[in-house]
Amino acid sequence: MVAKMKKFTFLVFYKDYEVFLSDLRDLGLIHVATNDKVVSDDEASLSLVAKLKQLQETKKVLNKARDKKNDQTLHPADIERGFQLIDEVDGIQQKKALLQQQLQVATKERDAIAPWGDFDPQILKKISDSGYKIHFFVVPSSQYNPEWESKFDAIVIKQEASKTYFVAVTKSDTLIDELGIEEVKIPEVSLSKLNGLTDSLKDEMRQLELQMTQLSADIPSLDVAIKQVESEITFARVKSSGNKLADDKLMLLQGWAPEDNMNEISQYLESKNAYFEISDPAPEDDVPIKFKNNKFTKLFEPIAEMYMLPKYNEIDLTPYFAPFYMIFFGLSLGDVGYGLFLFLVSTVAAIFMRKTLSANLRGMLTLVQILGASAFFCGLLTGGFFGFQIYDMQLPVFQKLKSIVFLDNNQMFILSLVLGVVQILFGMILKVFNRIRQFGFVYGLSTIGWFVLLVSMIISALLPKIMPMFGTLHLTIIGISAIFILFFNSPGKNLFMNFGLALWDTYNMVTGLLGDVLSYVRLFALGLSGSILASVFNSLAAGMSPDNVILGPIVAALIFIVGHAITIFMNTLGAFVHPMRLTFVEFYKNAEFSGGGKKYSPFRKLS
Amino acid sequence: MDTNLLLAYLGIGLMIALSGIGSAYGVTISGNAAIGALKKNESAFGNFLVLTALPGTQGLYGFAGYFMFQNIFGVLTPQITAIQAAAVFGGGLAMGLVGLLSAIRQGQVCANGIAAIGQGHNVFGNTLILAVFPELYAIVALAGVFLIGSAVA
Repeated sequence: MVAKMKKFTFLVFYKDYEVFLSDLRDLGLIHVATNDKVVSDDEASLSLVAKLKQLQETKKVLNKARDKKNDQTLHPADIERGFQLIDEVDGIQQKKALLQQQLQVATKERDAIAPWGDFDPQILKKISDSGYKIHFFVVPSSQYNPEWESKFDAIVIKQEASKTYFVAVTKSDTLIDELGIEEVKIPEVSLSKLNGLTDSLKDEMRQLELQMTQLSADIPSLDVAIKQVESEITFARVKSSGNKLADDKLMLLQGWAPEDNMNEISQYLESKNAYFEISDPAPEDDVPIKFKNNKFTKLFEPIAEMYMLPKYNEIDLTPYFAPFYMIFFGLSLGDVGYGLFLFLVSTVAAIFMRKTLSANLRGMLTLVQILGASAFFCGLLTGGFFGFQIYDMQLPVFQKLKSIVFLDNNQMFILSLVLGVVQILFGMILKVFNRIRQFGFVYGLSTIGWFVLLVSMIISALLPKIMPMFGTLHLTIIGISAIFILFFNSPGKNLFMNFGLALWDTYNMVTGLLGDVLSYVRLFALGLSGSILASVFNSLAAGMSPDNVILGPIVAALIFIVGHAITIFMNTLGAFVHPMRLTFVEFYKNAEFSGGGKKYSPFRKLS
Repeated sequence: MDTNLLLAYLGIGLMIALSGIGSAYGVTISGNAAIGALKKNESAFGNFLVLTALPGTQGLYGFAGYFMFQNIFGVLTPQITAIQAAAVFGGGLAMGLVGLLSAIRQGQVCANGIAAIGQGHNVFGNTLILAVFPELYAIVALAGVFLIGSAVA
């Protein structure tokens, strides 16, 4: 169900505006009707957004730096510290980038000098001072000419990776030109010095990383700073949503709140001396949506939100698809063992992480429990247990159970189609109520006609004794529903228009219904293919394990565990998604759900 | 008859191979998109994983089809008749082709969803729903294989 909302209109003197807004924020119940722009583009808001980006960036960097192995104790949150961190982290990062650059240069030089060995460049200078020059060359080994050794006094230093490193000792440069090979430049620092340099650079980098890790203990401070900036942004947005009146002296603000909280809100606002008016929403208002459901239906709200929220004056379909979804999930998974597994895992998780879980996650776990239980019971229909067939066992309990609930594949096939017909007809009933509620009784008539027609067909097909197909009674019913279908499908338009539209409607209905019902075959096919895959892994585990007393069982267990882990993942994913499609496409379409509501999110302090 | 069995196994081969190839392509297409999108939004890896896994089912359906013929219907024996062999071949061909193409197309839908999530659009639920549209036809093909099998077994 959608909670009833009230519209609040506030009129505030411009000087009191900010104080009033912070009061409103402390109250935390009013959804302010903001304009669509996410942030206003004045300078203050833009700098806030920039600040938020910086903070988030900093947090990302620190999160990466966090020492995950040793659980580092976090420092208590301090908002000032959070803002300081931006510059500190930035400084460290800049230093790191600089070091990285130096390291790259040093590594390059080291790689250049490494083949020549470790020597002091000063010696080269001394030699050249005494009249001899040493030239360094690298050539592919195939091009090296041993004659050079006598001609140019070449000395091979090293042969590596089909390259020859050699030096030539000469008195003048002219000889070298004769050689026709380009000289290699040698860095003016020795190898050992360069090695020392890279080591010390790496050391400094490590120091910086350590600093960063230490800083990451301040992440909570960043979190509060982010919240602070976010709430400032929201505040600015709400502030800019007010309309100026009476020469900018008055501010007009509109908001929404659930009817249930109306008294609380009025009392609070009256204590603050604010002028406000409460009214009911008008049909054209864009009212925010707040769900108000019982405990069971509440669990399915996240699924409903994945698609779209209903419009305010529309029927919320969550309570109506929830039981179907539960059964569909069970049929698609269709394995007693997997259902039990999901149920146990979510139960254990709910018990052990009771304290740390947020309310949302706890709801999710309860949902998984329910869906697991549903898969357990639906699995009993076919009797699959981790791919084994429990009804093959000759235990009296199972045989008794089998005689009561067992359905073979053909029956499962029919069951899934029947469920489809039931859900679609149910959707049509909802469509009638939805139309009556939104537009008036006349608008529901054509759908009532369709519903009666379809039900009468089903009855006379199944129970020809009560109502023979195309007998007098049946023909009368068909006639009456045909009148509704043909002449009441778009009230207000003329007769011929109605008739023409009705034909188009009929075409859509017939082709659509066929496709919609067939779409429910997936319930059967998913359940069947899931159980086949599970049994495949059982036969693999039995067949592929080596004939060895120790190794055999180990390999069998491994295949069993890995195989079933895969099937559980794939089947659960399918069993989660496919019923969702049946809900959102087949069911929502037949219930004429249009959706598009905005979520109720009150203006409040982020905590 | 040996030729009958030959035809049947040809069908089985096509069914497993084509649907398997389709799934391999499908998960690769979405997987590639996921790696690219991780660069922009690494916090959504869970979403990407789920979407990447979706086109993986077709290959499993092909395999499940083989097991149906082998274990449930038990037609893959030397005593197989010509009609049974033709049924296995036809069913296998249908499952294989539909699996191949639907998995590739599904992979593309998932890849687009992944790219959009990477850019910060919250479309995980929408992509899930749209991505199972192509898969329906692979499921229908599997149901078809089941019906064909039960008709001739």
